[in-house]
Amino acid sequence: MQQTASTRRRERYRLIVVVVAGLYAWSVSVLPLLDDLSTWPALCGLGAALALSVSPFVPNRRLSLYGALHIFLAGCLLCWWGARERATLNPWSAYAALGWIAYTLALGSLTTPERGEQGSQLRPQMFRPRVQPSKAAALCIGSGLLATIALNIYSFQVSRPELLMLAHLAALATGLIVLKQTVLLAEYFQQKAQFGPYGSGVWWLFIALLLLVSGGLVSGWATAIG
Amino acid sequence: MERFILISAIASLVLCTGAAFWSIRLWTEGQDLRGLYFFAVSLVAGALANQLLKAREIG
Repeated sequence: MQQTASTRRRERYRLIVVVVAGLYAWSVSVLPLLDDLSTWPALCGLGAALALSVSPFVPNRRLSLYGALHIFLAGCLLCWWGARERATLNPWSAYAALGWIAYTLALGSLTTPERGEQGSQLRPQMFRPRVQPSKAAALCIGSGLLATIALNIYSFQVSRPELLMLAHLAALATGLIVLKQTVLLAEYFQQKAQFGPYGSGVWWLFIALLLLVSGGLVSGWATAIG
Repeated sequence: MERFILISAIASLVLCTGAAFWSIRLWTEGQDLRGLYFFAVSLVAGALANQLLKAREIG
């Protein structure tokens, strides 16, 4: 009984990824269509988001999957059908395509058993890490993530349609580069924490990492105000 | 040497992020070519950071 509850809890955690990806796809492809909330397409769109959001909390596994997949997709499709006469802006369409790909991948990953679920019934506390996670690594990944999100938000400032798509693509490309490099740096910091003590020079790297955030955010947002 | 490579890589990342912000800023002002130039700078700086971190791994 305890194992069943533990398995269900793990399934709920795994469903959270699907909910996040699905809500992102919904927010860029359905939310722009919800102007008048009294119409039936808007209600279908809202119902889809509601079914997806509550799906991890449904006690029955089958019903939660129905909410995260069938009801969610049906609601979105009905909303699009009802609002088919309306044109959608270019960047939203591109982001929506990416969002739905992310949702599909997250949903597909549910069929793959987690590493802990394969093989023996070892208890989770046996897999406790021997080395504590490095704070510098977390700071590094957090800075990269923050800069990437800020860049994507800032790309919405471009108003001309012929450059709007290019600005979003530029933000996406730069964001991917920054994320990859910050992950490599974080890996270095974690290894440093694992195999050797910090030297005094690491503080230089901390300062430089702070520059990564300040250089991006300050030069972008502060100049936008001025 | 390793520290130098790391600091250079982080500086390249700062340049990459800053140039990307600046290119979008220029596009909002209507300076398309200068925006493209800064976007190219951003990509080159990102590629440089990548190569520097790879060099650190090999070294």
